[in-house]
Amino acid sequence: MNYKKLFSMTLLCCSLWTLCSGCAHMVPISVQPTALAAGDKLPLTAALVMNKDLLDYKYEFHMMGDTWVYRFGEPLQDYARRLAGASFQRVEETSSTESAFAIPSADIVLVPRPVKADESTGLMAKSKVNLTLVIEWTAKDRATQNTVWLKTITANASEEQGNIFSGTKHQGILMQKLFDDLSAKTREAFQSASELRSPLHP
Amino acid sequence: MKTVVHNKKNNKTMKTIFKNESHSAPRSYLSLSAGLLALVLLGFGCSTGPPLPDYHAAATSSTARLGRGAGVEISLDPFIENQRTKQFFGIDAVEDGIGIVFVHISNKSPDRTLLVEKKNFQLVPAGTSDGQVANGNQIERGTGGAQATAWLGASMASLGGLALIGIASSSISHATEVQRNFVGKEMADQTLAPGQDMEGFLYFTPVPKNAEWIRGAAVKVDLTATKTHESLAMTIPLSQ
Repeated sequence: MNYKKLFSMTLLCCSLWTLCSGCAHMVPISVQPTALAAGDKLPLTAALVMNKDLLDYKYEFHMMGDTWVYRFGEPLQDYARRLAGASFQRVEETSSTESAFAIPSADIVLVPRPVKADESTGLMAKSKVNLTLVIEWTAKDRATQNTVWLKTITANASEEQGNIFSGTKHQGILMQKLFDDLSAKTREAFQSASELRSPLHP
Repeated sequence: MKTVVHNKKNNKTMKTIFKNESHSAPRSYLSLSAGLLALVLLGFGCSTGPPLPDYHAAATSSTARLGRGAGVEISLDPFIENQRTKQFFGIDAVEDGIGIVFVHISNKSPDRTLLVEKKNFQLVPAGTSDGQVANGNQIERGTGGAQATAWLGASMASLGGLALIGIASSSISHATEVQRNFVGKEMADQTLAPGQDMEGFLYFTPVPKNAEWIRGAAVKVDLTATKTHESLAMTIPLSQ
């Protein structure tokens, strides 16, 4: 076979595979803990709810017949644990809202909930990938079960897409930027939560 | 012997890189296009545009309407100009039947924290009493339809050549960014402490496909005081 023909056919296969494979791609998410800004701990004991909505949360991005699956559950769990631990005097973890309300030492029940995520991208290696992740935090008074504080955090990150050789590296950078932004905004939200600074039942 | 492809449209002659007579002209051209596409996918492409710009509310807007009551001030600014929706949302939302309303809320009460949730903002069209709840998810799914167009564009590009690849790439980038931008700009549910402000966009769909959707329409707002569970309701007309 002529080497040029071989080269062309290889490239053709590569193109068709890229465009028409219709595969699901698991996007690895490995992030380092974000350095948090200094601040006071809120004078409350929180029952942190790590339920299935959080642990199983995944975002699927569909483009040109392919699906990219982002399993955010585990990194979100680490993020929630870290942020709650850094922001409250004491934190107790539990797996459901019901069990959280049954913890007598808790002042509040803290529920992090993934709301949605979305991504924009292009085809080119130099294209920017823009990723948005929305997380809602609700704090309920354990005694009355009333919502005392609610904040929705919209985290954004942008990074070059990269080519087939550098794409994984850029994806890692993108995820780190996303969780850095999410952590910084969440930290700021807890620090400025005046409703959680004063005693719930004076 | 070289295979020669005659382009009927512009009457130019294109010599392919293949010398083998067994190749038919269309197949050679297909292979060449696909090869070039593969190179582009490997990283020899141009970059695409930045995210759509953030919206910063003007101090005064001719379309903004103000509602006041019990220490709360709510400003609603419906986006009925094609230019504004194109600039900040990348589409002609008016023509697409998407009602976009910019909301700014100030809690001026001395001691009351309010719970603000999108589900408690209802668009009430002229002559009706039933409200339409703000729902960003519908919009995001709807604009996702643009991806199908982009997919077709990309498929054509793989057959047609580099110029179309550029167009398709730009189209895909734009379609996905429009969708993500709707998510990023949507008003967030939150509690609003005394002295705090918040803002964001609400989306209503479907609305009539022209700027007339605001004529006689109003937005019913229902906020809740977190401590007392007292409801603070008001109806704000979108037009004078």
